[in-house]
This record gives sequence, structure tokens and C-alpha cells, in this order.
Amino acid sequence: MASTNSRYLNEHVETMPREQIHQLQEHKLGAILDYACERSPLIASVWEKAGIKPGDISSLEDFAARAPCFDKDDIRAFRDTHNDPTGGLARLSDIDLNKIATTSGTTGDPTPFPIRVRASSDEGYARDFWEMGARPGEYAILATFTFRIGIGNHPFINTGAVPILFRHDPHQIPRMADAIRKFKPTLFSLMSTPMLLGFEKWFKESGVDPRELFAPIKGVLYGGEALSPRLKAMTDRWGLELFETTSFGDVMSATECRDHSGFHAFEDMAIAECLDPNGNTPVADGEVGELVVTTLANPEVPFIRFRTDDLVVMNRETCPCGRTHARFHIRGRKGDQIKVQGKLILPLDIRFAIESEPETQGGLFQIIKSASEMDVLRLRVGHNPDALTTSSSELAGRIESIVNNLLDVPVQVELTPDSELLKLGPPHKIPRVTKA
Amino acid sequence: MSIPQFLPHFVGHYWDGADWNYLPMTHREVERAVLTNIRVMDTFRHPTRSGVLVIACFDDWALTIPLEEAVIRSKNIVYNADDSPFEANRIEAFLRRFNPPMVFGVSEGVLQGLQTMGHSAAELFAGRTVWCRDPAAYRQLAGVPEIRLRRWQQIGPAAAMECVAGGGLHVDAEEWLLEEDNGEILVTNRLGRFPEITRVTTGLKGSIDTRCCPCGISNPKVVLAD
Repeated sequence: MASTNSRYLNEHVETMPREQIHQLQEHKLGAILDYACERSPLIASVWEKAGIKPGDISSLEDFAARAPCFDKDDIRAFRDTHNDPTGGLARLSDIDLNKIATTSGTTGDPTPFPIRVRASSDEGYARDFWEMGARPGEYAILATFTFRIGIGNHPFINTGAVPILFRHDPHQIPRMADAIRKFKPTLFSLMSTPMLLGFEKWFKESGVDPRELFAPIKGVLYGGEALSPRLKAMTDRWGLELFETTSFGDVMSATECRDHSGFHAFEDMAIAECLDPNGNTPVADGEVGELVVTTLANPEVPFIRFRTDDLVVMNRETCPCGRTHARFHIRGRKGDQIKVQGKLILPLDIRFAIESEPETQGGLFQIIKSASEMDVLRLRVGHNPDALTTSSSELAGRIESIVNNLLDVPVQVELTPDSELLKLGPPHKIPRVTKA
Repeated sequence: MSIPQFLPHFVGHYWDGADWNYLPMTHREVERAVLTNIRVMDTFRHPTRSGVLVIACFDDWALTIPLEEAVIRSKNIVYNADDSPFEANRIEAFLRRFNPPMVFGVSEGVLQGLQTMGHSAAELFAGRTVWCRDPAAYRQLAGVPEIRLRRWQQIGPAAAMECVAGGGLHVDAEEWLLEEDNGEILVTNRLGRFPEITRVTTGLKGSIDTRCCPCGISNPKVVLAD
């Protein structure tokens, strides 16, 4: 058993040779497939249509070659055609079902998914928090940005750390600062762009020294969207080490380690595949493909070859941290990909350029999509009217020039106050692509 | 042998009428709150496999951990939504699609959000037991005939919930000593906590009803003035 000095919460599993990871996956897969086909009407239907049964799968290779994929549209279609609120993922009469959460709804109607109280996401976060420095008896600020998945307290049970709860709201910052001074937490979870902007403002107004306040914090979990270079530089100045986290295909989380070389996908709890976004052909490591996941730890969440819509670049080489599980980088949502003069563009290609200007540093923008392929990249960009030092037409022209230099396509910018775009949702959930 | 240190399970919060205070809770304290919740929820006699929509903020663990655990142990199903006007469509979708008979945590913000998105709260909540978490929401829904309206909130550090009989929020009398001082409810812990909670103010005006409740629970009820 690893001591508290170990870098790993579970060294045996986290550094397991890949052949053993595959063996473990094969051992778990059979039981998961049986459970899913028995308890999930959707999975049973998808597999029946494909003419295949769990018993036909005898290896991971079989699975990759023969098992059918499904996506959120299939869940929604099953829900609507069968009048089944779970989308066929579960049966409400199932005595083992105790919780149904929903996805954020970023790609449309929130998708329900059954979850159990002790989920693989909890185990994943426990490993992440340990890597970030959480140890037994220490405190952690826990300000997860949503209650829609309910309470996940097992990462803390597993690490021995004690969470101090806060709602994810910049108005809470003075009290968070009080808690940091009183409890000296070593972990802060979760920071987002709005929270960082809130802290930036609060430090300016209060005169508090960020380095002094954050001195006890060994690691900060950051999520919601990719960390911008400006915010990275700012938190570096504050003496904070941020660890970006993302969803591992709605099955669990994936988080960076201290080497910050991609999101760690714990493959003892889920199979990670990277497939051609328009088919089932595997995409080689290093190339952009769609993340497809299969749960191995949560039978109640029957995501068996679930197409996530996330475009990722996969890396299965051992990480410098010693972990042997896959890592991936997120490029964006498949549904957010647009084509301008033959060039594929994702919101992430634009965001940091927009954040680089003081008037638009909130990074609020939308791509206006008028056709499947366009001649001009049209952007609706949010700005802070109080920060304008020139005319708004000059600002629009400046942003057009920056994005044009970056992507080499014609750009047309339409400015709108930040407050208008914030009517569409919290900053990280504003639809990045909208119809004209 | 050194004296063991008992770390809390988590640190929540409570309002004393003037300020927020930290509320460390141990596993034992959570467990007692779970059992209290089960007792109160059992008075409704909802069948097992019923759905329970819990609307809350993430920092409400002092309320939500015992509630969710009680729901799950009672073999019911938990659905979650944020206590936010932005959640109106999620809440509407849960109610329409899953038809849960119990809804906890309706707030003024939730009602505002539903109205903004064009949903009728009276229609959505009809036929359900709805526990409001603030007086403004309670006032807005009071009088809607098809809603069985109840309250669920913290009385200072003490979790409190109305039973099937209504008429006040039950507080676990083994865990908490309730007092009334110039119309304000005061709370003291009885079973040993760290830190001790002694006669803390709650900012809540009301009275303590120690009469036998028709629901059969012997715990006193806090009858809020507003």
C-alpha cells in the first residue's frame, strides 16, 4: 500500500503496464456488457439491431471490431419514441437504480444518465486530488459549479481530506478567503474563468496579496473551458498551480497531472477509443478523432461505445509522471466544428485571440453559422463597454485583424455587450456556435 | 495512546441571523440527520421507487447529504437540479418526464426562472408535495390548491423538514435543543459537537410547538412567523 508520501493514490493501478490494463479491461468488460444488455433497453436495442450479443465478444479486439456505437441523439430518440424518460439507459423500476443526473445540456436538451452514489468519477477525482497534493487530515475548498449531479463526497472519503463547501459564485470569494485563512486548505476545487476573474477583481479592490492568501494551496482544479494564456500567467503570478479537468465522456473525469501533458483517462474504469468522427475507423494517436468511451466501473451508466462528440488527440505513451493510462487533449465539440473557405475551425482556435484584448477579455463570443461551408467567419463578440478606449468599430476591426492573422480566413465581427451574451447562460456554457 | 482527533466529514454553513458560520459535521451527525429525514419522509407514505427532485446549491450539504441518503435508503430515486433561475428548463423537464411526486428546495429564484421561461409553477407542481426553502417561494405557492406545500430549510445549524401534517418544521429534539427568545428561535446542540453550538441565534422569528403531531413524530416543530 502506498504511503502518504507516494505520488500515487493507487500506484499499482495508476502505473500498471498497458498489457495488464488490457487484461483488466477484458475481465471487466464481459460483466458490464451482460449488465447493460439486461438492464438498459437502449443498449439491448442497439445491440439487437447490430445482430450481436454480449456472449459474441471474447476480447477487446472483438469489441472494437463488432460492438455498435451510440450517441446522445440515440438516447433522445429512444426517449421520445418509447416515451421513456431515461432514454432507455435504465428502468425506473430497477431496485439498484438510485439516482438520475443530467448532462449540462451544452449540445442540446440535457441528457439523463443514471448514476450511483459511489461513482467512478469519485474514484477518478480521488486519484486526481491526491496527485494535486490532498492528504488525510487536510482541508479542501470544494466549490463545484453545479449540483445537477448531486453530491460527490467520495473523493474526500478516499483521500482522507475534508471538504469545506462553497457555491461556485464570485460573491462567495470574501468568505472563501476567510476559510482559506482559518482552515489552511491544501486543495481548491473548482476554479473557473468567472471565479478567476472574480478573484482578480477582489484582489484589486481589497488590496489582499494573492500569494499570501493562496500560500497553503498546493493545487487548484480548473474546469469549464480551456485555461487561457492570460489567466495562466495571472495564476502563475499568484503562486497557484492549476490542474485542468474535463469530462471523460460523461463516464467520469479526466484531469492533468503535475506534468500538465494531457488529461489522464483512467482506463481501469473506462475504455477510451479515438475514432473517425464520421465512422468507426480508429484514429492513430496524435491525430484528431472523436472520443468514444465504454464504462467499466459504473454498470448503472451503460455507456458502451458512447460517442461523446468531443474531438480529442490521444496519447498512450507513458506520461512523465509514470502513469501508464491514456492521456488526451481536447480540441472541441464535433458539432461546433465549422468550415470557412475549406478550413476546419473550432471555437478554441478563436477564444484566446479574443481574450487577448482588454475590452473583450471575458472571452464571450459566438460563431455565427449560416451554412455548412462559409466564405467568411462571422463572429458575435461580447465586450465590456466600460473598458472601451476607442470606438467600437475600431475594436471590431482590431479583432477581425487578429483572428484573420491567426486563421487566414476573412473575418467579420459584430460587437455586443457582454451582458447580452450572458443572458444565454453562464460564461462557459454560452453556445459557441449559433445559427444566423 | 494519544487522544484521537475526530475530523469532520465536511464543513457546511449556517446562518445566525447576522452572519454565516462554519458548520463542521461528522459522519455520526450526518447519520443521525439521515434517520430523522427518513422518519419525516415516511409520514407521507409514498411508495418505493418514487422520484424525488432535489433542488439545491452545492454548498447545502448540511441539508442535502442527509436528504439524499434518506431518499436512497428508502429505495426512492434522486434527481438533482441547481437552485438557479437558469435551471428552469431542467426542472421543467424532470417534472414532465419523470413525474416525481416529491420536490425539495423550491426557491424564489427557481420560481422566477420558471416564469421567465414561460412555465406555470402552479401547473408544474400540481399533484406533488413541494418543500420550499424560503418564505418568498412559500408565499407564492401558498393557496395553490393542487400543491401539498411544505417547508424544508435549516433553522440555524439544525436541518428541519415539515411532515405530512404540516404546521411547522420538525427538528430532531435529541440532537438539538430549541428555545424561543423574544420571538427568535435559538438552537443548542445536545449530543456533543465541535465546536459546541450554544444558544445560537437563527434570525428566524417563530414559535416552538411541542404538542403531539398528528403524523406521529414526537419531535417539536418550529412554526415560522412569516
